[in-house]
Amino acid sequence: MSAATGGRWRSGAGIAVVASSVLVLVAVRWASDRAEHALARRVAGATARYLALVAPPSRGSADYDLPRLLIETRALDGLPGFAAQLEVYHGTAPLLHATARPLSPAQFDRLRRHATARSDGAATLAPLFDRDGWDVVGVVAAWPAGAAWLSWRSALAVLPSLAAGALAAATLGGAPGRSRRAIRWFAAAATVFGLAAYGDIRAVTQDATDRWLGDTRLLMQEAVVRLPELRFSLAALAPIAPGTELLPADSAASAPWRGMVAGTARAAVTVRLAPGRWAELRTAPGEGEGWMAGWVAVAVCLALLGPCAVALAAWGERGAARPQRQRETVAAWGFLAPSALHLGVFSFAPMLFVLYLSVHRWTLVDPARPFVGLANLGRMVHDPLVWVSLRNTVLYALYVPVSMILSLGAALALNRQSWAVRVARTIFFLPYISSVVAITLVWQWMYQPDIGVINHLVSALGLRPVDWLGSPRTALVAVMIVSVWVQLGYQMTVFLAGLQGVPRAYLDAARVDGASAWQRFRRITLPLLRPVTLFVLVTGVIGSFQVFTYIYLLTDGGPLHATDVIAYRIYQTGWEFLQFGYASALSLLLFVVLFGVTRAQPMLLGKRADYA
Amino acid sequence: MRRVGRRVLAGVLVALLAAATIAPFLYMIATALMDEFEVLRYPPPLLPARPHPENFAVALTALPFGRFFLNTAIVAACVVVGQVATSAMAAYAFARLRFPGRDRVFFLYLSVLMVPVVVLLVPRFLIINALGWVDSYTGLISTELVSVWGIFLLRQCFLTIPRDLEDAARLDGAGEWTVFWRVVLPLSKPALATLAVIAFADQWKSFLWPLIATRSAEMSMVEVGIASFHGLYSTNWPYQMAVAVTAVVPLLVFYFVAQKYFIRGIELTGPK
Repeated sequence: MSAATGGRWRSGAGIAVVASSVLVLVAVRWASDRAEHALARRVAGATARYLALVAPPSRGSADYDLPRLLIETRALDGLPGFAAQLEVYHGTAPLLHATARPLSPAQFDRLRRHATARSDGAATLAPLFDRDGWDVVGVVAAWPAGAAWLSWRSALAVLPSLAAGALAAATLGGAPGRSRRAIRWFAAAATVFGLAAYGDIRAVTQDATDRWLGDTRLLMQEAVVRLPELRFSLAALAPIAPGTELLPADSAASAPWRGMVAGTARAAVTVRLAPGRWAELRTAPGEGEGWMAGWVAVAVCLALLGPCAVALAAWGERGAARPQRQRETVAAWGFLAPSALHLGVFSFAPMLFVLYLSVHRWTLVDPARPFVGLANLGRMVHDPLVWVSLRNTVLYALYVPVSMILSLGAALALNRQSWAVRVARTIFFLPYISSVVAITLVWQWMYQPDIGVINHLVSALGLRPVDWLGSPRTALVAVMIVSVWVQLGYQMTVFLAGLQGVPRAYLDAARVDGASAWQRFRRITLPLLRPVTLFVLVTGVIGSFQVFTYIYLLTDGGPLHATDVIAYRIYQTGWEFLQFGYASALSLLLFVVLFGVTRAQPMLLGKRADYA
Repeated sequence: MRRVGRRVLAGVLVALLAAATIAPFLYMIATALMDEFEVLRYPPPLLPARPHPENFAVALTALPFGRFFLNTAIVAACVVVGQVATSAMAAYAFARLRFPGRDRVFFLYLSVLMVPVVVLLVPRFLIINALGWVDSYTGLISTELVSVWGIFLLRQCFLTIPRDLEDAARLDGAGEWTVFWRVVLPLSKPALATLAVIAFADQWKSFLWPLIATRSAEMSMVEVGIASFHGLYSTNWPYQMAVAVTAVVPLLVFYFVAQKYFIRGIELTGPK
């Protein structure tokens, strides 16, 4: 029985080992296909624009002179080093290979309607516009090169991975220690295989960029041969390859190369315009795109599916003796799956993403997002606004103790049952439950310097009126007053809940012994409330360090950054200045500060409590 | 005699504090009913000479407030359903099922509470931006579907349910899902209601995430919509107060209906 089930687990694990390897290869092939298709689309587009440039128009029409178009097209076929596989159609008739199948009218119609390059079956079709750039008169079709299934690199990497997988599967049912070691080896081999697969994807993408650069270079050189005046006007030549840079250069190297230009990665090739005259054609390298990082994750994760499956099989095989336990584990993960997935995607992944972002320059407008190392951190240290906002955040947090004293007093006074007490408790809770925006609106109204009711009260008391939100000296205090007003009811409710845990008997006994009300509070109630006080303080400070809405609505961080807080800095950096990399660095700063504050508070309070 | 005097003093002080707490609300309502120019007089009038209820009609038609309320209701309802469902399931696993690494996983969950929401703002926004979810219900809802606080609250509640009831169901051959659905959930309705009420109010009041996750007025939630009204009529205080009253009233009604759940939520997740 046991041997038979062990065999089943083993063969299942073996299948999983092979399946995960195949999955990785399929992913590589799919990615390579995508790169080849993208290349074909770009080459077809460049060829179409080349033909539009060099083929003369027929007399009295925007269409091309057909014999000349035929000649130019045929010339492409004999171009040495031209890598792309092409067909050019005028209307639906093939020009390059006279015996090729004509385009179907439906395909031609679709292209005329969409007027952009698109994949159609195996080929990629790009529209050939007439001289006016108005109507589609022809089609350039490019066939993507077939992607290879297995490079020598993946072949070298997949063999050890498969072997380690087979060994790991074979250890199932044996000693747990041995199978655990084998699975670990398998995981290592699979990771190497995943990285090799990523290397393949990268190589194909890089090669596609190179071939595109090579072909475009040839097209440009041909264009210069046909129309010699183009050699003096790069601007007329550049439309062959839109989205790239074409600049004068003084190098004769013919192979594509890679380099950094103004902080962004570029792939470039030299175009020979005339003896002694060169231009440099630059484009964003395919392998430098942001999504390539995603392929590392995909390849490695797919490769690691194998070890995971074997580990799962090992666990299943071991647990077969205790079916109840196993059922419970499976059920538990079933119950946890929704929340675990969500936390993974929207909490843990963002946490890692923040780390990644904080060492990059990242904006929504510029697709180049270069690695900048600790530059964001350095900028933060030298940014006076950051220090101002940190100071303001700390000052703002001082409202917490103030409202704690008020709320503790209210809780002590309301710690009994009567209708008046119930009404009072409800009233105190109202600000906490109401709409934040409504609250800020009414406070803004009351804080008005000339017609506000608060200044009216102030002058009725014989004091000088204050421009509460408009003066840098009082703005932060004004926001803190609103915060005290809002938080009072919440903190009071927590204190009231805590006061229920103070036994009446202690207080009565103390009273019998002649302790005064203050002594009873100081010696009995306060020490027993310590955990509650700590909770209110810690959660209050955590909340106050993240204050945003009150600042945003009451003062916009002003006047003169007097109420600029760290959360407001993050918002402004990210959503007004669109610097998400720097905003992430600020987020990390907030996280570190909060972590420290949260850790420090219980320690500080603990010491003082022990001392007393 | 001194005791009585002290109690009277405490009562007076608390009454004063309570008056200061409720005064802004009363003043909000009073201003909402005033004439546009009446409020500019000095000394500021505390009550309208003649009530102007038409302020509400004018202010509430200036922007599509109906749409704002509808958006908020949709988002809040979806989030409540999502949070209650995911929290109850996760809490059941943590409170009742034994599996290897349970405490470590629970600790990992709780560690999310250590991460302030503001820190996650940038990456979450970039994620929904990459998925094309900015300015849509999906973007507003998707990030809010799980509440670790809710998981904690429900776990505390599930732990207080006697195991005997479930064991009886298990003896009768019930699976984990049946026990969860037929025994545990019906017994914890108050806790589920607490979570639902607080999640609903939180969504209704949420400001920062709707501010950055939406762009158009059609997708605005109530708070952001009202904030944009502030920019529109920044000098007409009666209109602004009319809008503020409209924003507060649903929440206050909700609070009076569900008051005990709010208090219970604070008590349950307070310090232990």
